[in-house]
Amino acid sequence: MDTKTTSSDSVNLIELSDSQINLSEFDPLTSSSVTPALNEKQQPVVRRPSRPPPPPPNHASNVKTRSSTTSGGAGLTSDLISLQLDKHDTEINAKQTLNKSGVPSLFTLERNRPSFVSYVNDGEAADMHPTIIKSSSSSSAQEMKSQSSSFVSYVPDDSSAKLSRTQSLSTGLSQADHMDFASFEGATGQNAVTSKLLGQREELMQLFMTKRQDDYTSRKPFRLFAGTWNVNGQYPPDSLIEWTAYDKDPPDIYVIGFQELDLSKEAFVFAESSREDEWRKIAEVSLHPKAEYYLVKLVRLVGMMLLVFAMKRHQNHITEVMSHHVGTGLLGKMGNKGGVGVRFNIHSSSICVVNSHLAAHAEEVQRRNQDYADICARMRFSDAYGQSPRTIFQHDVVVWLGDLNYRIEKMLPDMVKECIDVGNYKLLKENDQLLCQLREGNVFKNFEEGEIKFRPTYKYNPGTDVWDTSEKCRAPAWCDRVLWKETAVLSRSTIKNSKKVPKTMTLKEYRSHGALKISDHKPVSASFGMDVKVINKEKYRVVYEEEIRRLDKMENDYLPSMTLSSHTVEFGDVMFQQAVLQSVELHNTGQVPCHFEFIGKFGDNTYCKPWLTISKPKGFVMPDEKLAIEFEVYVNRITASSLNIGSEKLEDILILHLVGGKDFFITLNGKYIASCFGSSLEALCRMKDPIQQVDQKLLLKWSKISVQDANDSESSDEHTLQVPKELWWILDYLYHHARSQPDLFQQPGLHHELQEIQKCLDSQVPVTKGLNSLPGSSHSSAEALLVFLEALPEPVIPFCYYQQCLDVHSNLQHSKELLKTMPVHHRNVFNYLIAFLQELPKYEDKNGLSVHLIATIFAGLILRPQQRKSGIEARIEREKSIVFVERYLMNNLEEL
Amino acid sequence: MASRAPQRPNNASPQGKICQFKLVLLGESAVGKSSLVLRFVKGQFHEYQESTIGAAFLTQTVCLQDTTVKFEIWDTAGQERYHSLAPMYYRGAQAAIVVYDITNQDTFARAKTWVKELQRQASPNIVIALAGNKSDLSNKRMVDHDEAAAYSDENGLLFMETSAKTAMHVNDIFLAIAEKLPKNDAGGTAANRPTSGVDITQGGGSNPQGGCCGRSQ
Repeated sequence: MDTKTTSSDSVNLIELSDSQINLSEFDPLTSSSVTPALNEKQQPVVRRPSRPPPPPPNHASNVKTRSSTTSGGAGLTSDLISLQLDKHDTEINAKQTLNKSGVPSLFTLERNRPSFVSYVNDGEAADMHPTIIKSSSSSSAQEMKSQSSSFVSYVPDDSSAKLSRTQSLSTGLSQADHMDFASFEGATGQNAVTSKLLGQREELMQLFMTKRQDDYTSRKPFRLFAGTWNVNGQYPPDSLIEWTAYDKDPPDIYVIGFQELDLSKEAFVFAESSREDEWRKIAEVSLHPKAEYYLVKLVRLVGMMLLVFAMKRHQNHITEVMSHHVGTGLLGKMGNKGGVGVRFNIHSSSICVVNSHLAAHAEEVQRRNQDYADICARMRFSDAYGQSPRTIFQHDVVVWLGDLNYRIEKMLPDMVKECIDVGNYKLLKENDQLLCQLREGNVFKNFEEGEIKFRPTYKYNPGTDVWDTSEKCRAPAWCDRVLWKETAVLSRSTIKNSKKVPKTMTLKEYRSHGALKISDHKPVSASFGMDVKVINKEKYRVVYEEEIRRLDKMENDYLPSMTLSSHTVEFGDVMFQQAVLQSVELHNTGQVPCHFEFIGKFGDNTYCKPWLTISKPKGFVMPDEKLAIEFEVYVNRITASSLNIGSEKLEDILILHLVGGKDFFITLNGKYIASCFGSSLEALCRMKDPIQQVDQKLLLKWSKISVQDANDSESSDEHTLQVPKELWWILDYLYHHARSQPDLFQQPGLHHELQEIQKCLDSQVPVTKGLNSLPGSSHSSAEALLVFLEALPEPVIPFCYYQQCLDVHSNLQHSKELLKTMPVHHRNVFNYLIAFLQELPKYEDKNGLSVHLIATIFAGLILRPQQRKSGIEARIEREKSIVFVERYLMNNLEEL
Repeated sequence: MASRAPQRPNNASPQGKICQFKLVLLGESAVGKSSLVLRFVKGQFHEYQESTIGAAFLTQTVCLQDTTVKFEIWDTAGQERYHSLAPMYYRGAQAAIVVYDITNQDTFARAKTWVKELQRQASPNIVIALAGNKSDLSNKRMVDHDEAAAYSDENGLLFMETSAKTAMHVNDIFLAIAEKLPKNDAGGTAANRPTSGVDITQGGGSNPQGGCCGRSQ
């Protein structure tokens, strides 16, 4: 209508609303002003609905199927349906949110779903969790695909051993376990996670290097002297040279253990002992005269003292010296019994020495075994930071010496002495408790000892070589011993070379030293040849680089890898509420399961535009398997308006991220066909031509006319239609052809017919009043009207009037006053629509439309809030809006 | 054998700590970013390298005199339409290689705008190297070596002409970056990390490692 919207026009408008509009006369396309002709025959209809609006069962089921499928009419008038079917209300709303408009909420839902990790941690021990995703057995792969809880349930059934192969699969997977999606930021998230693994990488490199140490180390022979002596609390003699310098060649390293260094109560209670110094000094001066030594470490617990000396020339190669002590005496803690230990590296070999004084008395074998076990369990060598403590056995070589106190059993003292005198050590050794316990594997497992060829070292009358003549008259015994053990790492690496394991330790001599007589024990010593590993720096570097290459290769090989069937997705022409599906196939071409997910750009939570749905926004693909991901474009009323005006396009780049690996970009392209559906009344009233023939710039310009300034722009030169021609077309058609149609507005239209109608409205102009036709059935046209109203970005009654309308919903006079202030196009459309709707109940006997039913159907379309509400509040508001519309339908249209 | 814990090496490795850095490759499409990475990481060259649509990810370690530098390499798509996504990859990167093709003046101009963008938007102490790739095609040279070198000097960039095809200067440019990166700050390194206790990350991470070894044997 070319009506100039000056103030004089408002007269026309008033006239128009003054009376019932004769629909047959109304033609927005003619330039003539609206003829407010009141058709005498058409009296205002004031009829109470004879029955409550029947909830059409076909509607209910229809909506359900629609919202779960993606047909063009999906979600249509769900407001209306839910009005009638409260119990379906929530369900429909929820589905709508999920299916179409609510990509963000879909995302939230995913996040809230319990992760695999938490599933398993709930049910299983915490260390089970790395196995979850690692499974690659084909059966579980199937389950994994579904990502359902059934997938999780298989985990406990799988033996972890079976999974070990796949546990290697990728660091990426384990990252996935810990991935916090909230903090995940694509490429940078990757960085944060992998740096966690860097420490493990260092450890792994150390492991690799340890395995290959033969390739970069050579062996250097060292001499080791290991001595032990229970000194029975005596003052040191002038020299220990008969013991410590017994060998011709000077040892490279001395380890010397004393027991019962100080039997005084003070030593027991206080840490200080003057004997420590005295014995250390005498030991120092008694070292082999052919070499110079330094004290590597001294450690003492009450009477147990361990001294480590080394030749001065080795000083730079003796590193990481640490000591510890364990008391096993009174209360299992006190230091009268127990052990002291020192560990150190010499070049690349690690050595641990333990000096122990185990429980006394012949019958206390179990106690001694227990002491040994306690020392093993409790002795820990920590660096200054207290980190990564090592146990006794985490060394290449363990030397264990001391007064172990094992006796000769089942023989009377005289018998023992007799055997000794005749040199029958065999019988004695058969009854030696330590040898028996060793044989039975009860203690000192895998330790070795030299063959004993010396007299028992206990118990003598001090100062003599005479057996104990005291009251107790103890039987002689080999209390004082030296044992050693080589740990597995050396042998393991050499077994691979299928050579005989070269021993690191070679015992040269095992003896006691009767010349030192001050104690009731004689000292014992063992001299060893020891092959120390010495690193060749050049070779080390070469091997290190080789190994790090290998590790790099492994890491790169086990990165997740996929190929995509396409990097672009073309949707072609996309119409309003018409879903278009395309798919891309992911093919896992790597060696590890791929955990993929679409990620947002720059920390954005949403990974795609609201008009897109991705069938699987994240998931797993097992090696060699394929997975099709479907992309569905669906433009609903929320996304339509910006696409209609071209401010938004059906274009996007998605980022498909492989957790622990690369990203793919997937480019989406589609052309949205502009439609009157989803266009604003302001814009539509300015379109003389079908929308598809309108210049996009104009569309954009018009779309910027807001409801607020619509009235102002009325005064501009623009010639606008009074109501959108498309709306006029539909109503004109319905009025002339469908007003008597049974079940009008109650039976849904057909999807393809709706599409045809849409094409028609968007590409053609209506002809003369009463002669307009629309394709398809009346029901489809009726639905088109509902869709049109629902898709309006700003409803017939603008959002800003919503609350006020509810406030005056039962007072027609007030609401009329209120609606007078609405922008002119909205006023026109409202009047026009009400006029049309008032016609319908006149044919209620045929179309079944009562006033109340019409109000129920249209209230939610005409008068709706900007933010969808829920619960009781929404219901109350809906009731009010129905009453609001009903009041209008039952009254003459008066001036607005 | 009696020990439950794995054997430990006996002394600190002469290589010292491992530092990790994120490195991103930027540049016009078809200048050879992926080829440079492929040459550096796998020692391979493909005459017809596929166009990168996304951001490829690989790792590679280089050993310096006293440290070991592990690069996490993000090789980005060069096509202009993906330009807006590039910040996702250079953000947080400690090093960048901006690549151009010496036979194509436009790619050099594009490289300069990349450098500008990095100087403006990337982390302030990012180490940037400029690589004039395809140096094997010097008979088709369109970008003067000295001009690029002078430009690099002005902007404090490392500069080398490289050839992914012949491998010339490929390792060198990564090595030069590794040398230039600061090793002492905590960024990227995980040395001295506690290795005992019930660290959850260990639970997840140590298994794959064990498995790797199992596989390799």
